[in-house]
Order: sequence, then structure tokens, then C-alpha cells
Amino acid sequence: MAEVILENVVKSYGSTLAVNRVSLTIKDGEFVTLVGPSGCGKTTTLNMIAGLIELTSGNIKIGNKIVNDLDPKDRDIAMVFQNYALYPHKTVYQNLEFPLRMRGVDKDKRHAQVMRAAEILGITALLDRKPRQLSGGQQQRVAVGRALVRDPAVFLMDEPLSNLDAKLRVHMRAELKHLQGELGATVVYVTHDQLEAMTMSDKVAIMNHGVLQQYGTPDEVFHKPANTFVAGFMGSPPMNLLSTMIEYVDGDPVLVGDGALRFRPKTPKIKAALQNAPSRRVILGIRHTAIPIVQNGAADDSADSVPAEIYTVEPTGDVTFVHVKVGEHLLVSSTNDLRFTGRIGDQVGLAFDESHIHLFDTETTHTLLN
Amino acid sequence: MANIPVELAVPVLVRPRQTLFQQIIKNRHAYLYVGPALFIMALVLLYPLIYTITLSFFNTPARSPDWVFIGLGNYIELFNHQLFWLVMRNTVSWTIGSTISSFILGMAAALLVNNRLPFMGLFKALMIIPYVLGHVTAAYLWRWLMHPDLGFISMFAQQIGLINRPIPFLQDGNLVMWSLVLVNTWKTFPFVMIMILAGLQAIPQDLYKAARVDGANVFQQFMEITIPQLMPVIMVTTVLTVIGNFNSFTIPWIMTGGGPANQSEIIITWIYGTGIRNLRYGFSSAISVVLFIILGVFSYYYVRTLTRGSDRSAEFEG
Ligand SMILES: Nc1ncnc2c1ncn2[C@@H]1O[C@H](COP(=O)(O)OP(=O)(O)O)[C@@H](O)[C@H]1O
Ligand SMILES: [Mg+2]
Repeated sequence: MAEVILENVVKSYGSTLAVNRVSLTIKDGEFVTLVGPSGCGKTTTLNMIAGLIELTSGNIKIGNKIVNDLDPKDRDIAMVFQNYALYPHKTVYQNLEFPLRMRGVDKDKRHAQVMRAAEILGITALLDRKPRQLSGGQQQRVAVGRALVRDPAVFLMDEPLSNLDAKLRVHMRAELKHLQGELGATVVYVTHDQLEAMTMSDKVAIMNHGVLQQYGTPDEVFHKPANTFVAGFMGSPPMNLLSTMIEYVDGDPVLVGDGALRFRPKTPKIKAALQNAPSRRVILGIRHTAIPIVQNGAADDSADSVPAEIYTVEPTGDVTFVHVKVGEHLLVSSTNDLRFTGRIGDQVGLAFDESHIHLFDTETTHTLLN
Repeated sequence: MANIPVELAVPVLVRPRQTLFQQIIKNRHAYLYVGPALFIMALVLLYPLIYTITLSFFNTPARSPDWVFIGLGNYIELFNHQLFWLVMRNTVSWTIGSTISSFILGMAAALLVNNRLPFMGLFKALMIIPYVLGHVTAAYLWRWLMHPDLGFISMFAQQIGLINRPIPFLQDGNLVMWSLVLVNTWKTFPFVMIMILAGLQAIPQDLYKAARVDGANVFQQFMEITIPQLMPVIMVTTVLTVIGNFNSFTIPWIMTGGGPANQSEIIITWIYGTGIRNLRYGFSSAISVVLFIILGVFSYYYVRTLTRGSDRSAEFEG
């Protein structure tokens, strides 16, 4: 087991920067996920850690040793590929044995290690089969087995679950996480699925256009997104991001959006953030859970209730997502009320939960709340 | 690439338990549509085959229209013929020699071209030239190149002092077979190269990445991934090359006509010589039938080993 450190890692292809000055520290035994939209540089980053592609600049350290110029085989890493990359002409046993054989481990020891890995993954009965005779989930397990058979310091996994159907994916997600915990393995895991990142990781590194956006625990990136990209990427449905202006009423800042959208914060922290904002235009971020529907939105007491019109309703069983329009803003709210009967066109009220709002600079998109 | 054996396997795998006749009755409309095509195929394939087999049991004197049935006479003569073993040996040298050497050359060329090195596109185009050149053109070109007095090779080699006498490529009985193999290799290796190249490009790159992570060096990657992954292509290409070489007529016929003194006679030139030149149709048909049987047996076993591999995949998928 070992620590993995990336220092200002850059990979350029001609004029495109696939990975742009990424720095990360992955501690021993941590499960770290690189997440981001397709093409953001996750695979490239992982392949650089593996040694499959060279860095343009920067350093990668594994276990305190700079490995920039080392071959993959000398880095003490193992990798699980998106499409498993099992050797099609070899049996499961031969697949598992391969990394050991290539390293000159003697036959008896190989056998013991293969059997141990097969046992851990419950694939002992499949050892004589060829990969094409296995289901997707079984192939996945063999791929993991081939990675753990020789006890590498670091496991690298590139979207290992994305070829599985939804149900199996949820199952394997739990299984992988459990396995990682048992082995105490250091894992760098790549996915484009924010839910996978949230559920599996000790830490999440969110990337966009080759740039690391935020690195933190799932809780941190979810509740304290560093910028609008992270805010919009983590969580489903994504956070509502509304363009608003700061106006002053009686010396207090008020956020004014389109239509009837007005929000007058009371918390000193938010007030201060608004007063110190570099520009009068700020982005108000708020998740659906923090703007619950108040059924009869008739303008009455609470000045914080914002009138809105239902755009569409999406029941999912336990939660009902309600898309509403406030002026030109289209935002997602939700309700846990199973008897919710709102229909398209109905007028409702939205209650803003001040303790869960986010503010971002319009120019830089960075958070104003820190 | 991996599909080739599967496709070959299909007729074997889907063969239903009905007899052919029952099938025809059941699908009579379909057979009606393919009927004309089947008829023409029978005409051009089956008819000559049956005609040749029939002919092989007859003595067909050149100057008389009367055939005389002689049973296995032609075959008995064939197996006792003074040239029989020489022709067989030449045919084997020709076929196996050309196949092996065009494989080595074709494989090497494919591996080279498959690298992302500069000028490989140009190089690839150049290497395909022999393949696209007509057989007759190639044969005449090489006959000229190998001519002892006027040929470029001997002249050039003498000029740079490599040799002091012309090399009798096509005149020396010990050399002639190998000269022909050389030319045939030159002509066929691009085909092997193209096939292997297609095979190489169909190998998923992830397998190499996985192997590198697993600790395989370049040689191990070649042995453990490239070769097994290419196996279906290699097998198919071998069958095609062997059959092609067995039946290859133009190059030996134009370059030597089987000479000198039958030293480069192979089955196919022998058939042509006895049949068309000496007008011994019956005898020549007997040789053809023997060639047909040899190729038939070879193809049968080859296709069977080919399809056996994919049968196993069908077991699970099907
Ligand atoms: N070999 C390459 N040549 C040129 N551009 C590449 C190459 N590999 C990746 N890229 C580019 O780098 C960016 C990041 O790619 P990748 O790391 O595969 O993204 P991800 O895995 O996050 O989907 C993409 O824009 C991609 O087009
Ligand atoms: Mg990727």
C-alpha cells in the first residue's frame, strides 16, 4: 500500500491540454474518485499514474518515489479497465495467473495466489472458462481478480462498472467498496457518474476540461461546492443556479432575480458575503431540497415564500420533483409529501431555506461563501 | 477478425435435423428463387467436376473421338509414372516453401507497417505493388530479371563483383524450384501482409495496456497477445495461401513451363502439359482428380480445426 501524489501534472496533445496542472494527494488506503464529464481528462490522468502515457510536465510519486520514468510494471500498480481487457484466448485461471507469471513467480506460489484471489471474488467455479463464456458481472470480477492477485500498492480503475446493467452496477458498487475496505487498498477510481463518486469514495476529485475543480470528501463537495461547475455536477437533479442582482433595501442586501424572485438573507454570514461581493451580479445556488414547495403559495405572511408556477411534476416514488417557473427562471424543487397534487400551471410557493444556499461569483464562478 | 471462424462455422452449426429434401419442400418458395442461380452454379461447377471424374476412367486417344473405358488404368499409370514422385515433391516444395516464406515476409511487413513510424503509408503502398501486378506481368518481369545473360540480377551482381558467372536461376535443375518459390513469395506476401495487418488492427489496444501493467515485455506481449489474437486470421490466410499456391499456374508455366527436364514440374503444370499440350485428357483428368482429393482433404481438416475453436463460443452464446 502506498500514497500517490500528483504535482502539477500536465498532459498536452498538440495544442489541447488534456490534463492541466492537476495536483492531488491520495493517502494510503484511501478510495479516491476522479469524476467529471466525458473528455475531461480522467482516463488520461489515470493512465499517467499507471505509466501507460508519459507526462508532459509535473511529477507523479507513488510511495514517496518519483515514478515519472518508470514502466507500468515497475510502479507496483494494477489496473481494471472499462471493458475489462481480459485476455480472450486465456482461461480465467490463466488470466489471473498472467501478472504473476510475467513477474516470474514460481508455479506453486502462483497457484496459491490465484486460488486466494478467486476465493475472495467468488469465481473459483469459473476458473476453466474463457472470458467470452462469462456474464458481464463475472468478467468484471475476473478483471478485479487479475488486479488484486499480486497485492499491488495501488489499484487504478477506469469506469469499471460502466458496462454493467443498472442493477448489477449498484451491486458491484457495494461489493467493490466492501472489498477495498477489507483489503485496505489504495484505489484511484475513475467514473463519469457522480452518484458512483458520492457513494464509493473517501475523497472525490472533480475535473472539467483537464482542470481539477475541487478535491474533498463527498460531503464537502456536495455541501460546499467550490464553484458552479461542481455545484451543477454533483447531485441529481443538479443544483439550481440563478442569475441575480444585489440590491439594497434599508441598507440590507436583497437578491433580485427575474419575475417575483426576491430573497432577503438574514444570516450575517450571507449578508457579509453579499456586501463583499466583487460585483453586483451573483449566482444564487440552491438545491431542490432547500426550496421545498409550500402548497398554497397565496401571498400571505412569510415574505420569504416566492410565488412560482408548476412547469412539470416528476414523481419518483418517495420524492416528487417539481419543476417550477419563477419569471424566466426554471428551477427544480421537491416535496416528500406523498399526497402532493400539484399540476402543471398551478401556482405554488417556494420556501427558501437560507441555511442551504450557495453564492457564486458571476465572473469567476467561484463560491463567495468561504 | 475473430468473426472469420464463426462465419465459417455457421453452416455447420445451424444445420437442422431435417434432411435436405425435407428442407427443400418446406422452403420451396425460397428454393424457387435461388433455383436459377443454383442451376448456373451446378452448370459451371458440378458439371465440369463430374465430367472430369468421368473422363479420368477413360482412355481418350488424341486422334479419335472414341473413348475407351479403362477403369483405374489412368490412376495406375499415374502412380507408376516416372514423374509422379518428382512432381509431388516439387508441388510440396512449391506450396509449402511459398507459403512459409510469404508468411514470414508478410508477417514482418505487417508488423513493421503497423507501427506508427513515418513514411509507413508510402511503404505500405509500395509493398502492395507485387500483389496488384498481374501474374503474367510478374512472371515475364522476373523471367527477364533472372535471365542469365541479359537479366538484371546476374548483371548487377557481376558488376559489383559479387559473382563471376551468371546465375542460372531457371536453367539449373537444383535451383529452378527455389527461384520460382522466390518469385511466388514476392507475389503473394502482400496478401499475407494485408490480412495480418487487418488482424493486427482488430486487436483491442487495451489488451496491450493490460499486459504492460501486468508486466509483459514487448516479446511477451507478442507471444501472449498478438499471436493468439491473430490465430484465426493466420489460419484462414494459410488455407487461402496454400490452396492458391497449389493451384497457381501462371508463374511456373510462363517462367519455366515445368522445365528444365521437368525439374520444376508441379501438379498443375503437369495437368496442363499432359492435357492441353499432349491432348491426353483422360490421364490429365486423373491427375486433376488426385489434386482435387488432396485439396479436399486438406480443406476439410483445416476448416474443421478452424471451426472447432468457435464451436465452444457458440456453446455459451447460443
Ligand atoms: N491520444 C490522444 N490524442 C489526442 N487527444 C487525446 C488523446 N487522448 C485523449 N485526448 C483528449 O484528451 C481529453 C481527455 O481525454 P480522456 O482522458 O480520455 O477523457 P475522459 O476519460 O475524462 O473521458 C479529450 O479531449 C481527448 O479528446
Ligand atoms: Mg475515459
